[in-house]
Amino acid sequence: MAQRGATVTFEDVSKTYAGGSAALVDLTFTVPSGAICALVGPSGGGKTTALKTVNRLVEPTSGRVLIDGVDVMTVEAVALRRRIGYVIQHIGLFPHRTVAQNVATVPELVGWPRDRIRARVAELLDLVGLDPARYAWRYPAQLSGGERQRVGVARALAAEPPVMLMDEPFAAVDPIVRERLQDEFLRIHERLGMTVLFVTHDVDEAMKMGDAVAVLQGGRLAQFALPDELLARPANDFVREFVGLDRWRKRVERLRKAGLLA
Amino acid sequence: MTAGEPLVRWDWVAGHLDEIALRIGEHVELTAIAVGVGLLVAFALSLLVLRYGWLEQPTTFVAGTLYTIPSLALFALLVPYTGLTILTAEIGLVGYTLLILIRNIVGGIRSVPAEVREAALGMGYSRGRLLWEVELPLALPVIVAGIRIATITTIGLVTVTALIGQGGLGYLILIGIQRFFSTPLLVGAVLSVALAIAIDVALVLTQRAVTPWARAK
Repeated sequence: MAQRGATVTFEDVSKTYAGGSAALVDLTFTVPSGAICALVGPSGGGKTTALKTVNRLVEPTSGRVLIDGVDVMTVEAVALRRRIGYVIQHIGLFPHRTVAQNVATVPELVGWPRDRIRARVAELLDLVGLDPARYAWRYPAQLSGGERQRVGVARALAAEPPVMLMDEPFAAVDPIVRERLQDEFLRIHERLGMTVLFVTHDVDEAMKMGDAVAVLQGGRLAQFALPDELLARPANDFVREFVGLDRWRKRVERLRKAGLLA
Repeated sequence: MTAGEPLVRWDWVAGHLDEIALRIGEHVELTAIAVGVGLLVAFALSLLVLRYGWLEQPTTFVAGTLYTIPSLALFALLVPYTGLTILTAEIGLVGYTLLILIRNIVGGIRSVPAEVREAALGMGYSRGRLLWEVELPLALPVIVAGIRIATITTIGLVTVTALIGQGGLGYLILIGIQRFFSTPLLVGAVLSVALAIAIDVALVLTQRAVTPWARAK
């Protein structure tokens, strides 16, 4: 299941609502192909809005979002979205469709042949750790929270999207399950190599999941950096505070985990 | 009713089976047209209400007002314009279904969880497919609940349309009243109730068959 990513570029992206409130202000950064970029910040900081400009659920007032150099506003919205995986906090599985039908959603929308869909669904359920024989015929109401999240991830991956948008995907499950889902997702990402934009309000999750971290505050990019750099050189007081007063402890922990410190 | 006469004369029933079957058929037909056309009209109006929120108040007001007009008076008012025709009967009957149907269609579609809608749009559903493949199926239990009430109400109302010459089980009731003869009156009334129950059960079973997820827990 080789799958490659795509470069996602924000170019001076601003979003101003009719009332005059600015949700995004001159957002500029580039997520390299195949990287996971965590978008982190306080609520109301613009993380979700920024994410939604990529699949056009929000359209920028000015500036451009580019996927592999193509302005998303030049691509028809429905076609664009079918090529971008999307996972939200409450997942939004279709209650009236089985697990297999949910996972098959986008392949069916884009008209894959039946055999290919069936094979792909089984492959994906395996990938997210759900036995197809046990789970394919269940309805979402018959799943635990963690199982639903797994189905949500499988559904987003179904049509091999080069870009995946995840909006607090693991926020609704308990910490132990969350940790496991994070690890599993990192393992999946390592195999598939798609580009991921990952919104979270949790700094620890951002550090763990992100190859790069974008800190948003008041719709502006406070800092865009590698996790280590963010800890070592916060761009301003806000980032320093937000990243946490115990950042040194975290840094030591990371280095220890990486085997760089005894 | 003549003294000494039994409440139901079974020999009359036996001798009029053909007529009774005919009246049941008419009754079902009048009801089916009313609910079918009502559903189409209500569906179109519901889509407009969902699209343009400001239409909700006036639509509900008009449908609500229609609903409060006594059926006899409504038919009497229509006769000068549309005559003693099935059209007169159906205008009234369709009018009475609208309030309940619109309310349940709009309510059912609005009850679809926001995250389901967002996920569907985010994955590349067009508005049309979202409606037909996600919103309507999920709204089905609420919509069917509305159809059940509208159908039962209509079956009751159809007995009145016999007054404007449209047959149905009301015709038997009318004969009973005119001739002081309890048998056709009772046959008409009992069959009307039985028909309502039978169709209601059929609707419940149909809904269960097409919404298997609603029972999955």
